[in-house]
Amino acid sequence: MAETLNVTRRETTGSNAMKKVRRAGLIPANLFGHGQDNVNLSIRADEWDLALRRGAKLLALAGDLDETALINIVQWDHLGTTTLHVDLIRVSADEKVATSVNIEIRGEAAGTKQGGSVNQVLRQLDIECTADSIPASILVNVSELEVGGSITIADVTLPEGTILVTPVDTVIVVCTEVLETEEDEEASGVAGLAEPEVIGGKPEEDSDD
Amino acid sequence: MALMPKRVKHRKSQRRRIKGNATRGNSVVFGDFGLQAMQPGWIKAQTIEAGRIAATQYIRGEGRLYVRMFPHKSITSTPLETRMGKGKGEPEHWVATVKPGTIMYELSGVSEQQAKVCFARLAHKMPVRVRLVRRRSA
Repeated sequence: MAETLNVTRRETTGSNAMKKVRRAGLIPANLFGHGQDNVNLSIRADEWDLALRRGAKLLALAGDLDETALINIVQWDHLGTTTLHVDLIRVSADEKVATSVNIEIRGEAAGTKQGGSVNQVLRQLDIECTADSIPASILVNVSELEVGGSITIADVTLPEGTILVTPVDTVIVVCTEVLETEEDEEASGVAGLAEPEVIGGKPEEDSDD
Repeated sequence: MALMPKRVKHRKSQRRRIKGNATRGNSVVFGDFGLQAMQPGWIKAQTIEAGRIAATQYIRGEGRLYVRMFPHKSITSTPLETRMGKGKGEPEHWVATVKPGTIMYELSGVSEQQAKVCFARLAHKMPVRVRLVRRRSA
């Protein structure tokens, strides 16, 4: 399901002009793809944040344009809180696209009750599907995961019409025994500081002369 | 043993100013939660180790802690009651330079509540203001 986003065409370019755009509560964006010309756009920051919070991947652009686009690259500020720039790719809703979706773990593993710890190894899954059927996330149920066991992609059921790109035998989540770390803590006491080796430094024998 | 480089090109470095924000190492990569620096600063190797111990004592092997900073910079000092001159002092300790946005530690395999408590214990050890961040979805 595409999220509707109002966009306006942007005539200005360059970092100085973009600072003014951001100060006005807008986010600079680019739309490209399908062999057509690139279009510079501005998106309202509050609308964009809302679309992201809803987990939007496909956007229905309204306002100055009437197109469907896929979110390609999102640039964030240094704290990862504010969007600085967005790259959008033109797609039609029934077009096949390659994308990656998040893997979400559900349930409490049986192994945790036996003293194990669940470790998610794979966070994202590469898939191919039509643009309008990109799942928000792939759910993996770990309730039957025992200590020493693992769940691979082969154990996961994907939505209909989705083609898997990631190898099937890739491990998603493992349940391992909890290791005691007491000796590690004892060993971590600060010993007498030794100096690191200096690359290209004089050997010790020469310095005695 | 506190962290320190194995090999260095120069034993001593100039102090330099910490300018700007973190453009690398500013997103949670390995775990589910991260401790992000909000101020620039030097983190001593001993402080990094103290933070690591505080966190591992709390999680008790349940989750996994990732240390995302490393003390690459040597800090020198001259001994007390030394006359002026005679050149730069000897390296005393090693520090990691952090800029606002740097992810200092990461945690995986724990609940958000556990991560909050763990990082709160860890944050007490840090000489800069920090905050908890979550991994950003795709």
